[in-house]
This record gives sequence, structure tokens and C-alpha cells, in this order.
Amino acid sequence: MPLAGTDLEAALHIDAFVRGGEVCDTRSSGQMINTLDPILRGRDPRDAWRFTQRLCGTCATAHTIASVRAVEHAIDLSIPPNAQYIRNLIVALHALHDHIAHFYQQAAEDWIDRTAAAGADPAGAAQLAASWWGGTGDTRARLQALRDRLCTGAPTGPRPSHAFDHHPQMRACPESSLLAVAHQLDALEHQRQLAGAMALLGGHAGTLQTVVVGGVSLPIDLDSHGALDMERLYRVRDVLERAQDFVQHAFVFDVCVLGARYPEWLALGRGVRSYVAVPDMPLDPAESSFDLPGGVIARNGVSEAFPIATLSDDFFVQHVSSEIARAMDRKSGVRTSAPRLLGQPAQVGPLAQVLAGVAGRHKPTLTWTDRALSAASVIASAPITADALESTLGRHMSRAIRAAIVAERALRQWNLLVNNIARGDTVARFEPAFPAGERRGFGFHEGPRGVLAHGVSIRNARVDTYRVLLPSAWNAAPRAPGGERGPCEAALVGNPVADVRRPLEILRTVHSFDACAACAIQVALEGA
Amino acid sequence: MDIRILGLGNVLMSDDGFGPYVVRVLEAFYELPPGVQAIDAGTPGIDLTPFLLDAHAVIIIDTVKAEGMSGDIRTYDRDDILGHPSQQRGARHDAGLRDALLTVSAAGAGPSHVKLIGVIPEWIATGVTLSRDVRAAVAPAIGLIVTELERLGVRPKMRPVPRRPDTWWEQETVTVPPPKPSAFVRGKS
Repeated sequence: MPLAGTDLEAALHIDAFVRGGEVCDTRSSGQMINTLDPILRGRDPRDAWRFTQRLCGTCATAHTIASVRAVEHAIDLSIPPNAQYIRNLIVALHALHDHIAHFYQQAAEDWIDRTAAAGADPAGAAQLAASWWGGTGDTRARLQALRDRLCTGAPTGPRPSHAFDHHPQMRACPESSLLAVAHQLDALEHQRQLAGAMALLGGHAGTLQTVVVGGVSLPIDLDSHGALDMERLYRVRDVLERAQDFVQHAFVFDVCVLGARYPEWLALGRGVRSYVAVPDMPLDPAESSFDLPGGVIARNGVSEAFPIATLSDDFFVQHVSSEIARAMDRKSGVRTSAPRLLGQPAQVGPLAQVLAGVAGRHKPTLTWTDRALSAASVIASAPITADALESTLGRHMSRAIRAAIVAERALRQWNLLVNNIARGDTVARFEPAFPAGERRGFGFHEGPRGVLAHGVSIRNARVDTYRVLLPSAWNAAPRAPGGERGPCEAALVGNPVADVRRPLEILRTVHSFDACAACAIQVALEGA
Repeated sequence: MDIRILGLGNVLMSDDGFGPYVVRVLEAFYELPPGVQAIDAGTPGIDLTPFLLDAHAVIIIDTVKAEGMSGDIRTYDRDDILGHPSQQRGARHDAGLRDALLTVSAAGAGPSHVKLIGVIPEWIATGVTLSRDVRAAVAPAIGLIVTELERLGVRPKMRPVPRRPDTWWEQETVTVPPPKPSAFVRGKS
């Protein structure tokens, strides 16, 4: 939930009604941008990405990628392999940054009680870390110093008010909490490094400048300092390797500990059970294969899984992209336009990505899902199965699993890029040409929050209409006319609320969706 | 000493683009000394922390909600920002700024010196131009940035010939910068 201030992706509002200590009903409402016509109509389509990347600061990369893909699709332009690999690396750096930031700087505080961490035994915490992954960095001395600081009341995190200290629902053990607080600080350093690596490929701190229609506007010359050279590439690799080590060990461990500690949250917060994820990280200019899998899981009466191998698959075109086009065109102005999957609301995001990968027997997804579930089972001393992923904590577990996969895939993309350049290919961009007449295109991107779609129509080389469909349009969808709740609404029903003045449990479920807009929550007691 | 000047705000939301606008004009008129970096940071939300983590001093340009006329400038120090209970609104993006400052200080890092220069907006709605009142506040805001830099012991040099500010969002059309010489071979179109 980025505090989006004045982002165009304006606020969501959730009303939760509580009866007998649990949520009995919810209503979500909100305004979500779906048209950029007033800003983009009449502009050069090659400039669209510069504007769309301003839609949301947290998702600037995602809106850049989706935009250039939409324009390239409209004019049937394939991009060079180097551009694909570099874009894939940028996508991976952004996803890692986003998953780490979302969990450690936003969601972790819903589960980890700093007052408990302050009472931890640093030696025990260091031992716990060592027994799991060697615990490099989590030394006893460091944890001791951190615990001492927690005891002094110095600022220790983004939530200054300690609003949920001693909340009856805070049950993490002191030692694992101390480790999680230490990892929160490590996470900041990884965020800084990942942002720096993005600037190495993106040309600018803060905003991506090199991803343009036709490819990547970055000169490639392995021996030239001003260009993308080996030195810069090794710096990117170094950051990726560190981030991989962090997400595959600390991140996966921290979410598994939470799963073991709060087993009821591996069942609570399930919500609707249909899912969509599109494939991403294309491996060839024709986009016939992808490094990250896509798929649809529909539970429309019966449970069925449909892999999406490419974006021209019949199933995808008939049931997903056409529905996205419909939702984009809905004349509802800026109201959240709720897309439906085979007539049903559906979830998007890391859980959808992981379930699609499991259903499609995607090896890296199977490996990491199995590792995370086994670790959680060992910590909990009870079997935790894949069903548990469909829950509030399961969405965080999926986030860690996805981050672990993305880190691995990113290093593979790095190798592909370096090998391709070493073969003598330094082309990174093709010049786009805009024919007269009308062209329409879609750009899909499986971002950290789920599928993002941009749709553009171009008339005589100028933007005519421009639409976006955000991941949160799926997850935060309001009730359908037929009465089915949207995913976030449905996931909240049945959540316990121990203290209506401090509705921590509602925050837990809302944060697990990582909504791409600031979200206001209002709790009302019913029939009390 | 690392000094960072951050323009915060959304250039697609008219007056909310004040921060980025000021940064672009500043860069056009001044040469910043080594160690001073001006960044159009947009609306980073929780992603503000990487910008703060390794800075000794930060000057933030933003819009603020405060009593006064549109175009009026208000300034705030670190303690003002941290002392703000979240219900009262200071800077429009202040919840993010305050959380980010607390987060980096938890890591034992971040700026010890913070100055927020905020303007009261006239309108915030979809659009790419500043209102007249807020545009008139750009030059005074730059004056405040320069004063603040001098207080921090650095002196930005005015360019003998100012550049054209790169406020691309207001312009009719934007072009992709041409690649550097010998950058790449042009492929098929």
C-alpha cells in the first residue's frame, strides 16, 4: 500500500462490518484511473511511456514497460534480443525491490512486535539464523547491538506510533522477531542497491529513461566506459547476487516463521479462488517463450487450470485479453472498472503467479514452493501444504517464493545478455515507424502486484485513446452486480477482529494484496 | 558531504508537479557543486527511502496543505516533519516523508539536516501545467534552495547562459534523446 499521496491511482476505501468479533461483511469502493486520454491524445506515441511512468512512483517501471509494449504491439514491432534481456533485467530488479520493500517496510510490522524483539536473546537468535542458512550477517554481536537499541526507544522503523504494540494478535517469538527487525534494516540496504542497479541500466536515479519504443536506448560496448560495458554489467550482477542471497534465505525464512507462528492465517483470508497471471520475461523477439510462466486458474464450479504459454494463445485472447479490453473501455469514467475472469472475480499478484507456475509444472516455481512449504512445515512441526498458500499469509509466502524465482531468472537473463553481446550483437533498438491509418495495441506486464495492461490506439502516428487496467482493478474490485464480492472484500470476511479500535487483522489481509493505491479502512460494529 | 535536492509530486496533476518543476528549472539555471544532486523523484511513496539513506542533508520541494493563499511558500525543518502527528497534514506527501525519515534513522543512516520547501497549490487535478500563482512561486523556491545550500556550506554557480528547463511534460511533444555516437547499428524498422 504505497502512500500514494496524489498519485493518479487514487484512494481505495474499505468498509468492514464486524459482528461477534469477526468481519461479517465488507464493501470496497474507489476510484482508479483507466483513461489517459486528456493527457496523451494527440501526442507522439513514442512519448507515451514518459507520461505513464508518472502514474505511480512505486510502479513507474511497470508502467513504462507496459506502455512501450502496447505501442510496439500496435505497430507490429519486435525488439532486438539485447533490448529484451536488458528490459528483463530491469523488470527483475524492480520486482525484487518492490517485493522486499513491500514486505519489510509495510507488511512485516503487521506481524512483528518490536516490544517482543526487544526481549529477545541475541545468542538464541544468532543460533536460529545459523541453523537455517548459515546466518551470514546475523551475528550475535550485531543482534545484541540491535536489541539494545530497541530497548532505548530510539526510532526503529516506519511505524512511529507503536499502534499495535502488545496487540493480542501479535504472537511472533522474540528471537525470530529480532531477526526480522535486523532483516528490515538489511532490506533497506538491498533496496538502495537495487535502485542503484536500476539507475545503471535505466540511465537515471529515480526514473527510467532508457526503455523506449523499439528497444532500449543504451549504447552497448563492452570496452567503453560511457556505454553499457562489462564493469557496469558486473556491478548489476553483484547487486543481483546479493539480493538473491537475501530473498532466498532471509525473506523465505521470515515468511515461513510467520506461517508457523500464525497457522490460522494460512487458512484465513482466502477469498475468491480464481487467478490470472500473464507470462513475462520474453526470451526471443517473437515472444514464443518466456522465463516466467503465466496461467489461469478458474474455479467456476469446477477447478480448471489453463496455462498461458504465449500472448497469442486462443484461451488468453478469448477470455483474458478481450475481457481486459472490455474493462478498459467501460464507460464508467474513472470508477474502478472491475474485470472478470469467465464471469467471476479473480485474484492477481504473486499468489496467482505461483499457482499458475505450479499448475503449469514450471520447475523453478515447483522447487521454490516446495522449499518454502517444507521449511514452514519443519518450523511448525506440522505439515503445511500448497493449499495454505491461498490465504493472507500465503500471499506473503508467495511473494517470497516469487522473489526467489525472479532473482534466479534475473541471473540467467544476465548470462543471456552477456553471451549475446559477446557474439558481437550490440543492437539494442529498432527505429519505430508509424503507418498512416489506425492501429491498436496492448501491452501486458506481469508486475509485482500482478497483471498490468495498457491499451493504445494510434491514428496517423498520434495517440488517439490510451487506457490502463491496474492490478488493483482485479484485487480491489467492488462487488459485482450479481452480488459476488471482489477478492479483497471476500478475503476479509471471517477475519477475526480482537480490538475494533485497532483492527490489525484487517490491515494484515489488506496489506497481503499490496494494493497499488493508498487505502482507507473504516470499521463499523454491527448489532453490538 | 552528500546533499540531495528532491522534487516530489506528480507532473500529471497540475500544481502537484511543483517539486519536479522546481528541480528542472534549478538545473537549468545553476551548476550544482560536486556532492549536490538534484532529483525529480516524482511520487515515490515508500520508495523514498533509497534517496535518503546515504544523504547527509536533504532539501525537499513539494506542495503543502497549510493555511494561506495559493502560491505561498512554507518551510519546515526535520523536527517539524517528524513532530507532525499523521492526522494533521503538512506536506502533501508528508506521511511518506515522515515514515521514510523514521525508517532510515532506524538504520542509523539518513540525513541529519532536512528542509522542506512547500508551496500551497491552487488546483490539483489531471493536467500538465502549473497555475499562475504556483508558477510565480518557482523563482522564490529556487532562491530558498540556494540560501539553504549556502547555509550548508556549498555555493551553486549560476550558469552564464541558462539552459532551457527540461519540463518535458508541459511541452507539445517530447523526443527520445538520440543515442550517443557509435551507439548501435540501426536495425530493420
